[in-house]
Amino acid sequence: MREEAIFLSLYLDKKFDEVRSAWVLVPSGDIDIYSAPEFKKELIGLIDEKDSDVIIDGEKLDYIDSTGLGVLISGLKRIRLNDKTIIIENIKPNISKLFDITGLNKVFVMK
Amino acid sequence: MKEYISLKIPKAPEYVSLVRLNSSAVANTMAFDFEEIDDIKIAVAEACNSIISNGEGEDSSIEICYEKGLDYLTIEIKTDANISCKKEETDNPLDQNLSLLIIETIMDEVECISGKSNGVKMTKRIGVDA
Repeated sequence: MREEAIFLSLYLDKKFDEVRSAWVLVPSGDIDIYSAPEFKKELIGLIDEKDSDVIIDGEKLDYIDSTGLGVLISGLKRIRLNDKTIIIENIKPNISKLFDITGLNKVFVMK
Repeated sequence: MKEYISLKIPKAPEYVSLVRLNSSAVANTMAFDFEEIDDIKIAVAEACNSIISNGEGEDSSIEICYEKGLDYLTIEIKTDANISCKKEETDNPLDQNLSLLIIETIMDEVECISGKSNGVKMTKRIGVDA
């Protein structure tokens, strides 16, 4: 099952990967203070819908700010209640740098 | 010789991307490398985020003032609201003030400004590792 959510600066592609038994969320564009609330709604919705890990594929993610990182943190806190986790993969160097600066590279599973 | 550029935006989330674009454009007129331009864009946006998230103050706008020097760019982000410049002491990455941490890490100089306007003043120097 594959769904799409479109906001002005952010496009979200989401699907459940049966092989990895996890949601795969592919954001395209920017997760910033404007798009973060809707991103949060989508992320929490996935976590509440199915008891599984969430993979954030950052291949098409150009920018994320502190509000976007805050959404990921709130998602992580929520998913941990189910003993699941959020995996961050394929992120660009400029975004990887933010995870390093904030120490979140040690909190999330980074691939 | 110094040059000054100013931008005033409504205190609303949808305008922060405009500030990022503008900051990139200003930095691109100087000899900053790609990573430094990215740092400037991120830091200015984070300061705006802090002001907007704070939600205080009657002023409905944020003023961003750029001062271009020979080998530096100083940016003041100001409003009438109070913004928190205090770093929270915590060992837990999940509980920290991410905006301030990011700004202080990637900019060369950061100071809080208070008085008639409140905000943050930050400087990036060309060719200096933050």
